[in-house]
Amino acid sequence: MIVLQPCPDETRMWPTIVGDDPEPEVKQHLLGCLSCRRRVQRLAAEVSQLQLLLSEPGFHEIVSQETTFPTRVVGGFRPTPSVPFGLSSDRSPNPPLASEVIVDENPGQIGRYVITEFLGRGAQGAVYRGTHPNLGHSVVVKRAHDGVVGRPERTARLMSEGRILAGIQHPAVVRVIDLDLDGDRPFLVFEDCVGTPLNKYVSQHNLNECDILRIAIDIAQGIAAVHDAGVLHLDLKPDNILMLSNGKLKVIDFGIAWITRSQGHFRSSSCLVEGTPTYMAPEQREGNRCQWDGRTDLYGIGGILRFLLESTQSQSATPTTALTTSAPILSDQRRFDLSKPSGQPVKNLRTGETNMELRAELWRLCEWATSPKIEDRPQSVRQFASELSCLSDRQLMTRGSWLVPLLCLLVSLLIIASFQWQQSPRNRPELYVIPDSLTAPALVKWDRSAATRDGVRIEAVIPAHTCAELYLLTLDGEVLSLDRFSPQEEKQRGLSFPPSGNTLSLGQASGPQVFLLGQLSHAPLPTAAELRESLSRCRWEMASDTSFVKFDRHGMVEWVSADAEHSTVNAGMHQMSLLSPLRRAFSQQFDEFTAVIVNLPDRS
Amino acid sequence: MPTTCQSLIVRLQSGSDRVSWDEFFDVYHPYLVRFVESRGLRGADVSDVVQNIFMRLMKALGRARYQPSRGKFRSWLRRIAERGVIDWHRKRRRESTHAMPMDVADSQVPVDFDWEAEHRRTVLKHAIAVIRSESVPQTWECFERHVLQQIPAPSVAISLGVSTNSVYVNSFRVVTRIRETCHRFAEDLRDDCASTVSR
Repeated sequence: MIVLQPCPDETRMWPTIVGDDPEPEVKQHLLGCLSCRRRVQRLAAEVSQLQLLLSEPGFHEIVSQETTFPTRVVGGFRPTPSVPFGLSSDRSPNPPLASEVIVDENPGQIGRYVITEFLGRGAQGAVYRGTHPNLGHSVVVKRAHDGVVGRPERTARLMSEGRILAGIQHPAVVRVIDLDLDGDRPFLVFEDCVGTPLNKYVSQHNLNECDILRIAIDIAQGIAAVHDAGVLHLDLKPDNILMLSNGKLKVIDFGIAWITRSQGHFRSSSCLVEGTPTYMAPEQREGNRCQWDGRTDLYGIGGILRFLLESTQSQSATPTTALTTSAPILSDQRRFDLSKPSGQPVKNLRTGETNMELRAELWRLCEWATSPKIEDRPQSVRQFASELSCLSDRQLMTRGSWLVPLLCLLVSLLIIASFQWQQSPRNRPELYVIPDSLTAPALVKWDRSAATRDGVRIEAVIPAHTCAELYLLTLDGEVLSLDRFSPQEEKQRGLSFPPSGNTLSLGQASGPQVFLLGQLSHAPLPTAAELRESLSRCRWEMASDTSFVKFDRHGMVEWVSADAEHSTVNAGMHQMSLLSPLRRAFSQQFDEFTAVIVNLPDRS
Repeated sequence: MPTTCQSLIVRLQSGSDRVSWDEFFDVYHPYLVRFVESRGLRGADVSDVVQNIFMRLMKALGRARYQPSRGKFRSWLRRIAERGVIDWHRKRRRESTHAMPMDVADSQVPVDFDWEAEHRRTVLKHAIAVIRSESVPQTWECFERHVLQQIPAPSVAISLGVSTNSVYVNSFRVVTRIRETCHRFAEDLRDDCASTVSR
């Protein structure tokens, strides 16, 4: 009887493939099994193919180098061959290949900077590391190729674009520290940021939802500052976000940025559609330059957010919506250990609790920012940043959820005590504790006239060195300036309105009226007409009976002081229906604002 | 089927897989640049044409235009790339008749570009680089010394302080991973004759 032996796995056949002696059983099996002999042939062909490849140019370097992926990005630019200089692109009929441009790899000195290292070259310029002559710290210098020599109009254009880039001042954006001429050739000097690109950083760290939110806020605020300077980045992707060792980040690589403000319209220095397709907005892909604005960059920020969410997606946290259609490849999952079978990734390193609610919110914002139609995205990156900040604040509230009932109880006790103090003939004491250094204006107390129920008294605190104004916004769209506070004060101030007397009468009108305290770090504050314009865009949908709702610029409802039958559920309703439009309207006009809504009951 | 084996093209066609797009772009961008340069284009024109080819690819993949049953991916890619270059020449010719006369053919210096061999080389290069970076050092050392440098397994085992069997197993697994990565790009680790061998 013939006994069929099971075929051995390929690891046992391996010695045969490389010409060594296999185990006797394997040798015997191969003699009788055509299928296994073919498997051996196939593997042997693969091995000899790999051995052949080693002799080809370029392969030896891949095999013997430490790693193939960049771990360090310098200054504002990655030293790759595709980096254009500054913002401009030359479209001469037959420009040379980047590799054909003769680059002085050791110029010794550029301007006053001593060059220590050649980092790379692009089509328009070469990148070097250098040393600041006086301060001694490391900088990155990018000098235009000598193609600009004898072309003063190009030199002038590069200089003017460099000046605009230098105007961007934000901690989350790589800083231009100098712009000068080396002979006829302009050069830009950037701070030398040492950090890890975000795509690499994600695979090295276990990011949770709060980390993602923090990163997204930093990027959005940085890009908002870039837009304020009149520049569109247009190449936002994880590679261009540098995570620094101090936990901060830098947006880098303005290689294809657009200047938007110089001539009152978009002006491209490049005729190409450039960028990274994955993170490019549809209008950018299609080259519809007339449509490009801040929302085009917003798409890139959404793309980065999506990348972060997908990269940190654990199996258990797969969203139920069809936001991702395929399992993400995690770079840390791809790292394999041969003590485990092939194709089985090492266990997901991402541990810890998953904040599903926050993740879902982040997905929602990500989808919003990456809407294919530009008009469906948020109006600006600043608005998007504000939405993210709002999420962050809400998160902080949620974390301290056990504190909320306790605080509610304490505040209730305070209010009862306050009411009793009011009724008493003694002077009213302070019922609230004001922190030593407020950063935003605070409406700390408000009272309705106990007698007539139609008067209001407001008490607030204004931080030092800020201008602030207290407005009354009425239901019919009127904006009244009640009081204005100058920025000269060196200490924070307490104020009450009306300054004297008991309460401000609100008349006989019914419906919601808003006391808005807005703050700016500098003058001038928006005029009443501007606020009226913003107010006209708000939809007023006030629930019927709530007496007071207080909220800040992020839409956080801090307290609902109401008659006994009102509950905090109403606060949630207001957040949805009334506060969001107000927040959108006024967040553009103030650094910070806070408001109290007073709802006067219908007397008819 | 393990994720690593899943065809990159299939993953791209399924949409919204940004990580795959990045990998696809990283691998094919330099390849297409070399191809377009071989057709005599230079500088900004190269970037322009390559960008257009990628746009066409994105659109075509989005509409699931590529059917694996109808032919190899590299052939399909070639058709799209060739069309991109031809369109550029057409546009250029049209512009030159309207504006200034310019003989496009004069600026072209077509260079031999073996599409299939280059594709194979590009994919293999990428696969080796990826697996090299993902392997733990000892694993790669086993493979490099035993398979590439063809040092006998017992010697490698002694020098690395592992068993001979570990050297075999590690080498086999690295080859398997490289093969899987090649398959993701619809490319075979072996030469063309391999297609006649049954799997």
